[in-house]
Amino acid sequence: MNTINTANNAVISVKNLVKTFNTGKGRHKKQVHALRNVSFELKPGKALALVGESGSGKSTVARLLTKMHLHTSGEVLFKGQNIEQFNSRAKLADYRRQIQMIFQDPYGSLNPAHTIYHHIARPLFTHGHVKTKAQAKQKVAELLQRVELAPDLTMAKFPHQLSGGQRQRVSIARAIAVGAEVILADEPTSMLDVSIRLDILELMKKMKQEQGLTFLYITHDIATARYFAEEIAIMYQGQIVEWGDTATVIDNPQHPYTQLLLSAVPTPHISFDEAAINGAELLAQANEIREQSYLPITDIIQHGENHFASQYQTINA
Amino acid sequence: MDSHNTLEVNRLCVDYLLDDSEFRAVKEVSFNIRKGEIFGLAGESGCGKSTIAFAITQLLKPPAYISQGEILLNGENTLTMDKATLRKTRWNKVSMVFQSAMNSLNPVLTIEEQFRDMFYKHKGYDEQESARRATQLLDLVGIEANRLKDYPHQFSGGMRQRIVIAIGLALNPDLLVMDEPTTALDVVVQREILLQIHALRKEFGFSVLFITHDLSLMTQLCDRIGVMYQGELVEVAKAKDILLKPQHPYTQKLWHSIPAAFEQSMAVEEASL
Repeated sequence: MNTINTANNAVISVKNLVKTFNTGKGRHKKQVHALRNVSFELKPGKALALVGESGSGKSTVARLLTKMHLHTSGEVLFKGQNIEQFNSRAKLADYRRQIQMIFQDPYGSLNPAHTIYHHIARPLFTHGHVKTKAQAKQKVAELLQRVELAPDLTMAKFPHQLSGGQRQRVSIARAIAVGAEVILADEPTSMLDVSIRLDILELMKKMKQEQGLTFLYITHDIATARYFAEEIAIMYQGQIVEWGDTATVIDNPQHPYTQLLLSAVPTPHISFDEAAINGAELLAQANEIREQSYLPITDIIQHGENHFASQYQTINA
Repeated sequence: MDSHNTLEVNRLCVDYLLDDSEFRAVKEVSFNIRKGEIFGLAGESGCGKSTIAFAITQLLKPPAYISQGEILLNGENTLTMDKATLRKTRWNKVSMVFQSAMNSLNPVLTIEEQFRDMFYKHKGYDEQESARRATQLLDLVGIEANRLKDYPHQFSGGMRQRIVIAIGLALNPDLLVMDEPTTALDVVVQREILLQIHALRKEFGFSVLFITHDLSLMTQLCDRIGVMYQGELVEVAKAKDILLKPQHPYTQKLWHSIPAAFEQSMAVEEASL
């Protein structure tokens, strides 16, 4: 199976990752193939956008990377080490310190009964970054400043006193508090208001560029993927059907599923009257494209220096 | 009252009662929707756009109440209607599709029974007649008739949303209010559904009040757009003008916070700067 560009300096490289969930009991026993042979690499200081509709398996990838679930087969290498080796408590804690998540729901990911100070100071104590309260206070203030929140005002506040965007900033501060190198951002902006989405992306972009953080940006929003990520991978039903440089893939999509997805992205400059005509052909085939894209990938075709798509079989072929 | 207007909202104010004060969620909002027009209401969460949608059919629940203004539907003020007239107006004249429409179907009734319930109440149809109409309606939204006996959980999110739209259109309303109808759906499904609305509107000539925070999508679909900010309607214009010549600073700010997905729109955006 091919991988996304095999440079050896990758922070994380994922090879042929498979995850199968078993659900139900007795007669209702059933297997759900959440990931089928997924391979990609995260390069230091860069972002990879994982794009797909709901249920395509994008969040499962993040869960496997943080070892919240264990993968069925395949391997994940973190700086060359297989993450399956991180078995002891200490090793696992150290691994998780370096790879942190930001979740979609800023309202659900902070504990309403604790102050912002508590949220950021706790991981600092747990991972032994600070010993005394004074140290913690200073470090928390520093972190809040880095995510552009006023330290004095914010520290004593409770989550309900902050807006969605501010809460998401706290989540980011918490993730970088313990010195994470890789951030798995699972739809970090989709629950925020439009006018503050860009600010959060801007902040993440700054961290990527200035501090060399590596991002896996999970989203269904093509526009923000283009804005934020250097590389993009399009997922459908547990497989990556197309990947490469973000701009190349979006402007010159090769796989029919990518084309279908992109044709449906709202573009304000094209009215529905025009869109109805242009997109009709693809939409008419939508079900066929979905069915065909569901089949296991057999071959990969290279379309450009860093642009790959899986072989698409038409029914008639 | 202009007879070309399906809906006219005049200086509408909605207040929420708080412990010791009132909070004005909608501040003197006026707009109208012409016959067969798709009118969009854009704005961020908490700006009052859904409150307006609920006010139109008198669905606001305390502590919210309408403190001022009038809402004319085909020239009749819905705010002064008695309960019986209101009941007849809802669904017959105005129907609503909510954001969580996937959850607005009763999980223990088959699709056919959901239709029958509504047809019996409003038209007094018997079982056969209602099943016959339901088949036609499902056909409109592209769902096969043999699925009438299925339960909501057997459909995908997009299909459930289409069923809700079909039920909404069942009595040929003059106005369809859609509050974030596709926010929970994937883009491809969203496009499929909205194209259907777009086509059905042309066929049946109903008006649509379309509410969303997705300005790009709204510009594509709507004829005219109103932009709301903190309870006030700050700008109303044709969709093209909202896109190309936004007047209010807030509208401009909204556009600036949406990154472009494609090269061509990036070029257009740069040219407009």
